[in-house]
Amino acid sequence: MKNEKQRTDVEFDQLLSKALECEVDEERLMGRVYARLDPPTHTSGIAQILGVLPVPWPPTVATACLLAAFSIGLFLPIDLVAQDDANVIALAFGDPEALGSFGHFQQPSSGR
Amino acid sequence: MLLGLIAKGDQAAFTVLMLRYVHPLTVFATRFLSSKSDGEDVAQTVFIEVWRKAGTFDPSKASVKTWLFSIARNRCIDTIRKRRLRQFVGLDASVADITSMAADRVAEDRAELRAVRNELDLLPDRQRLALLLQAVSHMSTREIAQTMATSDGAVEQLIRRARQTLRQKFSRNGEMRTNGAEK
Repeated sequence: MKNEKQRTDVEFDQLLSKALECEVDEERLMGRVYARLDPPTHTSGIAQILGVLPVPWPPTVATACLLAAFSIGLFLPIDLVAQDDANVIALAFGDPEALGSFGHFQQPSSGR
Repeated sequence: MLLGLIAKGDQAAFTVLMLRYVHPLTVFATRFLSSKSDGEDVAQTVFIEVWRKAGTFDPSKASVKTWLFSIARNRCIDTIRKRRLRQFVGLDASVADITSMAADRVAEDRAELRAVRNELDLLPDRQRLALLLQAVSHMSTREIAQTMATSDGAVEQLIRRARQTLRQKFSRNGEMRTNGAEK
């Protein structure tokens, strides 16, 4: 009985450990940190537009800002935008996963 | 030592620290929040805070590891609060939706792994936190207690309860018995 318990304990630990495994793109994450600590000087564009608005914004406001930024070519990496803002932008598209569909958003703005 | 250098603006020391902790911190936050993007945001925020506040680190009060995970824990709690507020005002997807999206992303995973994650998401926050600190960051009971600002006994109880809850779903043949995930 005790052996049985020990066996299931070990199996449970292995299962838990496997379930918690998660791929991490360390290089990309570190790039994001460097970018936040040392952003390029041209943070005018969308980062500034979004930065002056109150949070949380209604999705329509976020959408309008984003579309306006797109229309005048202010394509800045999302890393320059506070994550709260980024989430609201994603929500404005009706799906938080929408953020991931913009390839350029996922690139660190600068690395070292 | 490392944090002392970082406090003086040593970028190489900062890189060493990130290389050492970026993986466990991200896994911890990702699993705690059941969201890869939120987990990455927390990890990023932790390192930014470390860079800015390294000078406030007091080695007599905590180890580097417990200090980092304490920051991560606080930022995770902030994220959960914001998420709940957004759910309350209807700006965010419900917890069930988030869980469901997470489950979709790992659809290729084995059913029992998915089931463990789903059950983990259902644990009370403090139980999940204690269990993750133990399983992901391999902290001792004392370290977890320091990170959670609680007693060793409380940590032991939290972990015991979390494991008991999960184990109740764990059948003798090593499979999880959960809603819809039973093999």
